[in-house]
Amino acid sequence: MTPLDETGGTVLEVRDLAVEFPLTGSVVRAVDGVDLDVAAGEIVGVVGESGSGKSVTMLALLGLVHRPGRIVGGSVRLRGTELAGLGPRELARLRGRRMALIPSDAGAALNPVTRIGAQVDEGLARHLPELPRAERQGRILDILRRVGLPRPDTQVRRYPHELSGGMQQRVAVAMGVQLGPDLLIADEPTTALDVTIQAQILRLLLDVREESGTAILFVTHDMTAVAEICDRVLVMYAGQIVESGSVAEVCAAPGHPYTKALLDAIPPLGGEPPEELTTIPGAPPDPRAWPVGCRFAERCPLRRRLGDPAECTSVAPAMATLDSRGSAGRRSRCHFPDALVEAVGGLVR
Amino acid sequence: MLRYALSRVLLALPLLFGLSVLSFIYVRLIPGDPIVAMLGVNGNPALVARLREQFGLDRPLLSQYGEWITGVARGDLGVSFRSQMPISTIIVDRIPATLQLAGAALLVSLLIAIPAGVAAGMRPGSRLDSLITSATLFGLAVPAFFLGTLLMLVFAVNLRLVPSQGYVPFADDPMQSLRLTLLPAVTLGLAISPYLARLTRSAVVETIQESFVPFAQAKGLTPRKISMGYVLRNALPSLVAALGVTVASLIAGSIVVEALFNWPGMGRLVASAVVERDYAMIEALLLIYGGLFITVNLVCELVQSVLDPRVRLT
Repeated sequence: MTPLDETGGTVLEVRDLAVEFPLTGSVVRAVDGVDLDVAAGEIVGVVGESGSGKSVTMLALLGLVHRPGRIVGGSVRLRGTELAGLGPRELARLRGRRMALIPSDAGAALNPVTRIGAQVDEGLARHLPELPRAERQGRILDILRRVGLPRPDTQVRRYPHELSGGMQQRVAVAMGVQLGPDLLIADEPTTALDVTIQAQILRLLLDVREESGTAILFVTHDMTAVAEICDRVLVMYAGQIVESGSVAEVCAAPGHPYTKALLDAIPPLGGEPPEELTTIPGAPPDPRAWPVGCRFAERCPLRRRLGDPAECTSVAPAMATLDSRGSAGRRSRCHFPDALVEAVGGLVR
Repeated sequence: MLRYALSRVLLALPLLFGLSVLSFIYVRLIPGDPIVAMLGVNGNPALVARLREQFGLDRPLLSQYGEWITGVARGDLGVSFRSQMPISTIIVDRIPATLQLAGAALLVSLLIAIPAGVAAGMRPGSRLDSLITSATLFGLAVPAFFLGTLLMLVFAVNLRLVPSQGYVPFADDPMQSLRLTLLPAVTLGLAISPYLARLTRSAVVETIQESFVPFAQAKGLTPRKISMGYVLRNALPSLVAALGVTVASLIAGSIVVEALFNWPGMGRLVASAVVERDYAMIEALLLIYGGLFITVNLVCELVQSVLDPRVRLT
């Protein structure tokens, strides 16, 4: 079904994406100029605090920003097809088949009054209407078995509330991957789960990538999970991407003070427990009126260390390539990325 | 499921008992007693004493209640103070007319309220929503007797499309019976539909905010499938519960509408029993209406549990 020339290359290409929510008397620009690319078979982590715009960005990719919010600019291309130009019907035909979502809380995302089997069937019936009913039944059991749901033949007759959280999440994963989408958006798929089940779901995502070459956008605020399964990572802050690069490089030498602060907030495993967990002081800026300069300036330890340079608060930093280190695609939205490298180690607070 | 149903029925029993005690006490709380209230303070004392004895009002309360409630259990609701006829017989006579009007009115209100409530709830805050919400507010503000008089004047008196009032049993003359039902049913239906529309709207608004709606969209399902299979299907249990509550306004409305259209149902029986101070009848009607309300809501709860698999757990 898939033409040969579509098996590799870029799956998703996003340029200058902007999403706004009109409020009475003001406008919230929740996503402001996001660029991102995901290649086939690549797992890209998207990290950032709550409210940084990660989830809205993902909804925008699916064309599902809820009213009164709307996409006000930019381009989203899936396998070269510009999604902004598609009507609601054509977009709905792509959703679930070419690009799929794994929700963060499957317990709330599954239809409470419909049996599991019927819910998994909905996507198949919608996107493969020519498939005979009996064959769909077989496929449902098959996909549920593949996501590691025990005894799928009995589970299909149960209701979502009769399943444990881990099983619900696996059902949601099954629904996301059943049609072998080009792009899978996993929006915090493991936050509601305990550690062992988290590991199983992460393993599952790796399997899906292995088997169908699916590109995965993995949204999380768990840096450990990113380190485990992602190839690249994008760091979002205040509606923008502030750093991008391979996971190994970003973790070893963050190119943005915010990334550095995020990494410092992870408690070390083993050894002496820290006196006090590192937190990022202050709060993100007001999304109704983004600051003129760097959006992280107000909270930035590097800025204070550098003696409060004027650029930080007067000039908006662009996403610049960090030539001095790492591979191509290593970018940061900081005026002084090199100063950060020198300061690594002594930057806390 | 069976255990759930049984537990709901068992819970309804104390409610019915409490209702019977209240109906019984209510009549006996009247200053003096029902006979004096009926005949007036200047009534013939000998007659008062005789009637009191005849209706057993001179005996201790507990034994009166005991006799009354065992009679009720056998389907004997006592004897009307006024007509001296068995109350059960009077009420049974009224049942066909009562059900015909109530059923038709419920149909009218469902046809108006469900589409209106769904349309408003699907897009809360939209212009259509504001329009429908204001219309329901207006509907709540217009009393049923005013609406009924207006409809009667326009459609019966001026346009002469339907008869203005009266009742013919359906079995005797189906066409004429339906023609006569039309105006009272529309009046009563319009009177209760604002409640139902508002309850429907809030059930739908609550459902569209659930996170299974965006997930269904992310699966690429059609808007039609999402509104039927997700939103309406999940709002349905609340709608059934709303319907149970609406029975109260249906009963209240029927008292006015039946009087207005000269409709020989139970609603008019209430009005006449109150006017005639027939306390035995009032007592019986309180019990029946209360029992009806409890039963309808019990049935609605059971239907709700069939519609929502999660209810059976609690």
